[in-house]
Amino acid sequence: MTQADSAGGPATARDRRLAAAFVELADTLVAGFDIIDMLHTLTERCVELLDVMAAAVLLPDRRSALQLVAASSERTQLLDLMRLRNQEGPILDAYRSGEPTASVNLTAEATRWPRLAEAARDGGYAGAQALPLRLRGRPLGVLGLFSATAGALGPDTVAIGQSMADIATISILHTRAFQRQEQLAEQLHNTLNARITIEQAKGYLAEKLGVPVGETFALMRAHAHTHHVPLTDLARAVLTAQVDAADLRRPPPDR
Amino acid sequence: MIIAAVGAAARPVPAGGGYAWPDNDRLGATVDPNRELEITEAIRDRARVEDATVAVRHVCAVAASVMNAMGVGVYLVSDLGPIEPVHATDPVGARLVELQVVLGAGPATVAVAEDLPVLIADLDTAASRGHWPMFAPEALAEGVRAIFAFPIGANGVTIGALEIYRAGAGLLSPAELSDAWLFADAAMALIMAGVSDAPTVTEYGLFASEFGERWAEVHQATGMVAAQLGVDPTTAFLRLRARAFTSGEGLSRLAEDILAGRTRLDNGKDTEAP
Repeated sequence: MTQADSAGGPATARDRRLAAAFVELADTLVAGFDIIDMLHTLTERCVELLDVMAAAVLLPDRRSALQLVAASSERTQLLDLMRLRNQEGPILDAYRSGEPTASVNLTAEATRWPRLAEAARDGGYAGAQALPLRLRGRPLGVLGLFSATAGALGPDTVAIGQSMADIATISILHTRAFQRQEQLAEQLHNTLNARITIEQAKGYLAEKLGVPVGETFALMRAHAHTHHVPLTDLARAVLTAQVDAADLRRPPPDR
Repeated sequence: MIIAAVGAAARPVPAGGGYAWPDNDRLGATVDPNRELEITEAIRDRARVEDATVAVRHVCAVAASVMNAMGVGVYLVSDLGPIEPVHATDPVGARLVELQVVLGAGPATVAVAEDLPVLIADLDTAASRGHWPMFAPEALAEGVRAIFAFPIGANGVTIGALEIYRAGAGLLSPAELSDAWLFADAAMALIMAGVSDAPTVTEYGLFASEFGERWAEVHQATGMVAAQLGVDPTTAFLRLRARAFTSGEGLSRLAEDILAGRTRLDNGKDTEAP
């Protein structure tokens, strides 16, 4: 048991860091904050404050399969553990039961979770604590904490961990994780439309200038660079005749 | 028999109960994490064989073989319409994709619009022909007997559809149904990861395929027609689709002819004064 659960001891330093972390996390709950970014910060603070080796937040996708959305570490060993997230282990049990689930030593869990025990041995993890993200008793996801050494987290540490899980819950409810998905979908939509517009402009220029389609892209790029216009904007302007196709044939003005 | 899972209250249930109404949007598909791993690995393996980064075409290729399909197509939503094709695994798939773009209607269009799967177990029934009067006969002529279209999306955001074409009639088994969802989800995850990683992962890398290069010609031809007719690209695209529909030649074949100057939609008469 390596945890500094200093009941009665001089916990002021940790208290101060704890308060600072809560303020920092609360500060992120303002306009324009990115939920994924915030959850990453939260996992990093968990590592610092709870003296664990790694922390991870997992949320269910639309098939209720847990997906890793944030982790304090990109270590492949942690990712290997996470590969089993929907098969066995404290994370899955905490998600299903809605109750905190702990293992003093994952590597000794050959009976309960044989594959995870092996992965933990390979990955250098031992202690594990899974804390559910709960909303009115319904599991929203899981915060997982992993230690390098065997042993249970102290009750204070678990309590702080659960507070961290609650902050994660609030932030998820606050923004809904899919806002990011919407942004990505919009970005995808723009990218796709940009490609279509550029291809159309190529055909338009080929017809107007009487040059092969294959030569039009270079003409557009040269014009876009000379005039410092994004290529897609130029393509749109060509198609709406806001830019005269003939202008693209001329060499750039010497200036 | 058609099972079309359409939005509640979107359209009436025909007499005879040709429609099955699912309890949820997954039609009872269950999660099997082992299966998910297997499919993800199979997609990775497919890319590894090509020594390429994982792209949409690998998802399609594995889906086609696992689902015992003639072909698989993937569409995304664009400003041109609900279904901008980004990949089709083979000539039959490419022709069905074109057909739906020309008609502006088909299973993928409905899947995207309703964010629900459209499962057509047999195109060769009176009900199917009634529901898809233009599409069904053409698809049957291509040798496709059953079509299953799944929305690609998550959390209420629909970005496109994955469509499976089969030569034989018959419903998907429950296992096949959950596999199909896994492929749609794999496409979603791949596309979203690619977009968020941009510019490290280029859009070209995600969608790179022979199909995509051929399809680019359709857009180039649209621009050419817009210049020939002096109309905006949206109108030009409609004219192109109309010509492809009336002439019966495929959209990409027509695009080739236009780009080569063999076909002009203005009948050789320039609308612009010299």
